[in-house]
Amino acid sequence: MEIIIDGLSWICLLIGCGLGLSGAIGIFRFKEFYTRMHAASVTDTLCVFFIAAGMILQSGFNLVSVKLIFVVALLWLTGPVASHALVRAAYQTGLKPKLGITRKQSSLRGKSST
Amino acid sequence: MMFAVTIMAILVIMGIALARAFLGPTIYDRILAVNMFGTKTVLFIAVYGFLTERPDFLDIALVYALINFIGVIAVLKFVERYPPPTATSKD
Amino acid sequence: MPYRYLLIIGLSIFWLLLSGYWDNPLILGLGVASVALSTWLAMRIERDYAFQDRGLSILLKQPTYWPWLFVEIIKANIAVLRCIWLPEKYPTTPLIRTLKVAPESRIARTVYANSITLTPGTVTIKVRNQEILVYALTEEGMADLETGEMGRRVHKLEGSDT
Repeated sequence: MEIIIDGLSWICLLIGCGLGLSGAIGIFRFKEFYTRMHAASVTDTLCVFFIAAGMILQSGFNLVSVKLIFVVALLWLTGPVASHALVRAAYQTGLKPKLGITRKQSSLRGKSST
Repeated sequence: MMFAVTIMAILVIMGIALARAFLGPTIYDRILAVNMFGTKTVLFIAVYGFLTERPDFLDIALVYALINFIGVIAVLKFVERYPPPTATSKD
Repeated sequence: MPYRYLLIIGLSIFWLLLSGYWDNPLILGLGVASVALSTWLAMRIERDYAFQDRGLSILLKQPTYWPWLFVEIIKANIAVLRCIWLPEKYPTTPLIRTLKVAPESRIARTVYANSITLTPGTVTIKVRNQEILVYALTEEGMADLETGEMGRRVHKLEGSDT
């Protein structure tokens, strides 16, 4: 039983770390602010969830796990509000997003609508 | 062991976020990176509490989550009201 | 004002779970004081329109919404991860579009906009009356929103009976 729980929390923690690292890479790889925002959003949602899930598996069900659930709930509730405030501030002060060509024509990029 | 690995990964993520905060061409990139840094700090404090087997650290993590949120919102309010001349990128 | 009592009960449970001291009269007294202060502040902030419409219905039906939202979040995460790791195969085609909002009450629109922002790949830029300006990373993410599934679910959450 111990081994199963340990293995599960290893898996959860590793998935969480992987997601966080992917998000961090995305923050570097994407070209402009609006797309970077989505990479950060990956680390704000599932990365937090999986790392907290790994810790909950280790702690068992007691007040500690309840606090961990509160941490996740708090981050999931405040994260979107902060993202929305950020993107709204950027949009209203005139930072124009580069739009891709849509309508399924092709994946040609580089044409900005600004 | 598993928490040590997690802490190393979180430290790497925080380092990359800091680098983006230094590089980021617009001020919003910097705020985004700082916000992400704060979120990861919350996780870091929580995992550190588990690593040293002092779960009291979770309270600090909760408080840090709130402070981080309020701080980011306050900075954004300021930037929105007084946008710096370099706020918009040069395309 | 039933929401005041709801708020008091919720805050008390929150405080008890966070503190962990359930038998020290001094700390319990401080807890009662902080709950009272928070309730007063919250009612003062939301004096004019506190949950006046359908708030309770939304609160009670949340558990039916979260599992679906969680699955959506996982799907959206995978989509964004593909864009990060395989930029050649899955290029990002950012787009902005205005969507009609199905939910009517203020609280339901808040839930809807927050859900859109919470799922990676889509971000709410602006909410104005019944319209919502959404920025999406890929065409697929926007297409998912345009089917209106999430809006319908939030609309069901607020209850069409009142």
